Amino acid sequence: MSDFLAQLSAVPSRQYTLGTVSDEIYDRQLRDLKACFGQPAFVPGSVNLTECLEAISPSIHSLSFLCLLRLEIQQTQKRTQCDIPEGLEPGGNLWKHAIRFLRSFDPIQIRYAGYEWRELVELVASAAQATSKPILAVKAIRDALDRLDTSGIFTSTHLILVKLTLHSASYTSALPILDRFLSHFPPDTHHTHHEFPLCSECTPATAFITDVPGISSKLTYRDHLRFFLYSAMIYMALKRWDQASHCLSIVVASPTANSVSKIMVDAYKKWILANLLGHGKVPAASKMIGPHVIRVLHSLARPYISLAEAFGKGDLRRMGAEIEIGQSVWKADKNTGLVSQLFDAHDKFAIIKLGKTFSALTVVDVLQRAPSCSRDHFVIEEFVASMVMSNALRASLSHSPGGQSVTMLRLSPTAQCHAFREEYIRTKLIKGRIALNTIAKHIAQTDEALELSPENLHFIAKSQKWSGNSEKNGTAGAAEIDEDLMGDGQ
Amino acid sequence: MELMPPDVAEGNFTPYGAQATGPGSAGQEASNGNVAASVGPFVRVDDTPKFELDSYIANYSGRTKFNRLFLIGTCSTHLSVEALKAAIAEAKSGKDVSRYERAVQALAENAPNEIEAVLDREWVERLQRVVRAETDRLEHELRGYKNNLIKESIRMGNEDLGQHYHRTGDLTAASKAYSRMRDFCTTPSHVASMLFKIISVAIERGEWLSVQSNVQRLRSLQTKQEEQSKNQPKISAALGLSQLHSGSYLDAANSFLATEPSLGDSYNDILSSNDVAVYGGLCALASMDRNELQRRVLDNNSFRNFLELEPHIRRAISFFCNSKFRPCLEILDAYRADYLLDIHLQRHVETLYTRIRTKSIQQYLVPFNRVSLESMSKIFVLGNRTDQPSPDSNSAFVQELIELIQNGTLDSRIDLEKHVIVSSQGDKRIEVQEAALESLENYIEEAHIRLLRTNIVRAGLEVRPLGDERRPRPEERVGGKRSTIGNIFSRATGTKH
Repeated sequence: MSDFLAQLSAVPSRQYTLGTVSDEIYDRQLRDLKACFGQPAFVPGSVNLTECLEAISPSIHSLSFLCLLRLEIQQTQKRTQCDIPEGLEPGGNLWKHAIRFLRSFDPIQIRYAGYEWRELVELVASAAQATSKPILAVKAIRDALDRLDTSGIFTSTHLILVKLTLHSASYTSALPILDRFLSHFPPDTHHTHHEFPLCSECTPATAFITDVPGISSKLTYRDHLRFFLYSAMIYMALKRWDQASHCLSIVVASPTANSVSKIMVDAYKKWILANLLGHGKVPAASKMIGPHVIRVLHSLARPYISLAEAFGKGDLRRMGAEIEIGQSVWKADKNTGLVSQLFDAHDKFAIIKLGKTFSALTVVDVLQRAPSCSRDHFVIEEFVASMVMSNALRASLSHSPGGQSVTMLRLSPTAQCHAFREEYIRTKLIKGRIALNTIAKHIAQTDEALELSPENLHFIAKSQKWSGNSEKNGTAGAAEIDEDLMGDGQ
Repeated sequence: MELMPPDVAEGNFTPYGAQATGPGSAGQEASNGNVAASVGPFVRVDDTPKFELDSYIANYSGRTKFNRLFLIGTCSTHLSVEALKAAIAEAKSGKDVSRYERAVQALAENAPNEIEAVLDREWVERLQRVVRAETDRLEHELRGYKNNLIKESIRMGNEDLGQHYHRTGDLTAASKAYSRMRDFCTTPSHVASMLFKIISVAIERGEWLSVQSNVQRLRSLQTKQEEQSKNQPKISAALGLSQLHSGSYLDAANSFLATEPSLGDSYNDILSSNDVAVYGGLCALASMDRNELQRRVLDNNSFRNFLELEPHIRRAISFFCNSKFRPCLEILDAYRADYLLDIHLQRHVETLYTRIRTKSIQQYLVPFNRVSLESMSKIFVLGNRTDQPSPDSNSAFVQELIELIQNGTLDSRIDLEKHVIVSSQGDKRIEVQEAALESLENYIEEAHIRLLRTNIVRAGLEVRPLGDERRPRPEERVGGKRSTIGNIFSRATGTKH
């Protein structure tokens, strides 16, 4: 037993060791350990797995812990003839171990057991689902993804996370993951060349996710479309329309090969509604969307487009009629909730528009000037007040001193305190800078992966010129060799 | 002076939209007649115009005389009978049967009891015979000339035929006949006279593009100095007219301003010097700012001669330059009926007046930080001054201001509590910051989407038809990958690899 434990804890996480082990040795140790678990005789039959799990720490000996846990789960599954045995249900023994592991594992060691890691995550997710407690898994999986740090690579785990989030309606808990830029996908090509061993701090995420094929299941186009659609739904639930619209435009603008996915159609419908709710108008469709896709989308989302037209014209009666006519459509598309928010949004934008024309007017006038407002004049004051409070409208309300029930609405664009405004701009700029840097980094990575550096392009162009000119001389071969050298040099 | 309510004319206006496409559509409608007649009454003018019909029409000669009379007859309620009678008399003195019939029909609708309202069938038949005989004779002569191959005779034969068609109202045939003269013109003055004839037919047909192109030809023509100075005023006037109709008022103003006063009554078959003053003045008022008006219109020595013919236009312009907007607008309003009865101005009066009014309001607001609505309405609400002591927030004038603000013409906002207009002093710094942030956001979003698209394609995850789920085999892609870029290049450069 103790021998076995010693074997398990032979390779501790580097964060907890004082001496420095070189990357190569550490790499070999981890690979050996992983290989050991592949042998059936490695775990002696006398050993109580549960005790072992108690004995070793998931944060220091993550690889051993994960493999042991997997073994234990497999054994239990075999014993109970059940995919999700009792111990794995929330509150159970195995569940506790799994959660403890997901919260504290060492991301470097896990690189050697990507497949096992994903299996555990999926088990946790389905266990939580099976017991109708998805919220318990959401946080654990979010933390696990956070620890793994895929640095912008989309994996199947992301999709699991957003699904669980939607099921559990705990929208804010997924935000830390959603707010990060995802811009890469695990390519299914295997690089033969490694600059660093897998365990090195310097190994870029693109490399290990590629090299550990198991860390994400095989993806299809539906997975990433769904992920962004679900992310948008989460943002919409939180009324973060800008982000929602961005996610939806990703789905709509997704590259296609002669066909349009129904997910894209759904996203387009929601995109129209999100923009109406967030901006009061539908912007022109992105130029990145192919014309044939636009045609399909337009023809399939016709009720939404005419609804948006009615909204844009401020024609409240027509909008009401459109909403009434389309009841079954909204219901079928599960957009009834969004559509029902349109009236509020309409009034909001009508009042904001007044601010461009008037600098002050009575609340009664508001009703007259925005004739499309769907409220009577007692409610309108409350509505305006709530808009001012939520910072949607820069204005102030004042009751007249004479005791008459006339409330004056002063709309002033510069009502905000100057210093406050500067601070606000500053934070936005900083956020923008971070986002820009991330994007730039990702673009550079993609450029590298696509071998798009200017030097390389220049070189290829040149070598083709050579080969074109000197085909007869047989120097074309030299150029090819050069090209290979260049490829290796990267 | 009688002050008229702003809505002098009732009826449906299509102020500018219809005009933008003016040249083309008018040309189609008026394939064989003149513009005014074929479109039917454009507006109904119920007010008495200021001009005397007799002295007004005496300014013109040729076919425009009938066209103007007919227009006044169909549009004005006061002058209808008088003008139509004069039109019938004018038509009977000419050779155009169709105009006579039109005029009689119009009179029969307005005043069926007049003697002239009955068609003189005998005259019509006789004239039709005469016209037919004349056409045959001229065409026969032309054929003879063509056989003789004498250029000058062929030119004159075509000219005679063209003039005959023009007189009898067959404008399409007339313009064809005139165009045929081109090959047989030997001297520049012949070319010039031919072009003038084409222009005059084109003006009558409302083909403003053709007017413009022929004017350009006239301009580039090398003629003698004296002839050039004789032609210049006509050229400018015709060009101005076509620009007015195509809605480019600033160009029209420039053309009319460049017209030499030597025009006199030499172009009476198209327009008179008074018209040049009115058209030029109104276009300038609608399109130029105060400095330009002062410098280029009031201080313009040659145009002054025209303005003296229409002193009220000069008064209106100088009032505008001196920021006395109310008298300026009052003068224009007083003459609205006159201009609505002008064959060329009719369709543009509303647009021109609206522009002048908008410009006045803009100019008026320039020096103010805040202006009370009351003092503004004193100037811009024409009509009874005592009628509206303080402007109601629902008055038409406030509504007009709101529209101007909403379409972005005025950069100010209305304060309905204190009843003032406040000019917006947007904080430039904040505006710039917001614009920068917005473009930053847009950039990031677009870059993100484009990056994702690239990577989706790279990972083989494009949306593809069902059943075609298979991603390309790794080997294929690995094998293909290195040469992918090479392939693109070879395709682009077209070299063999």
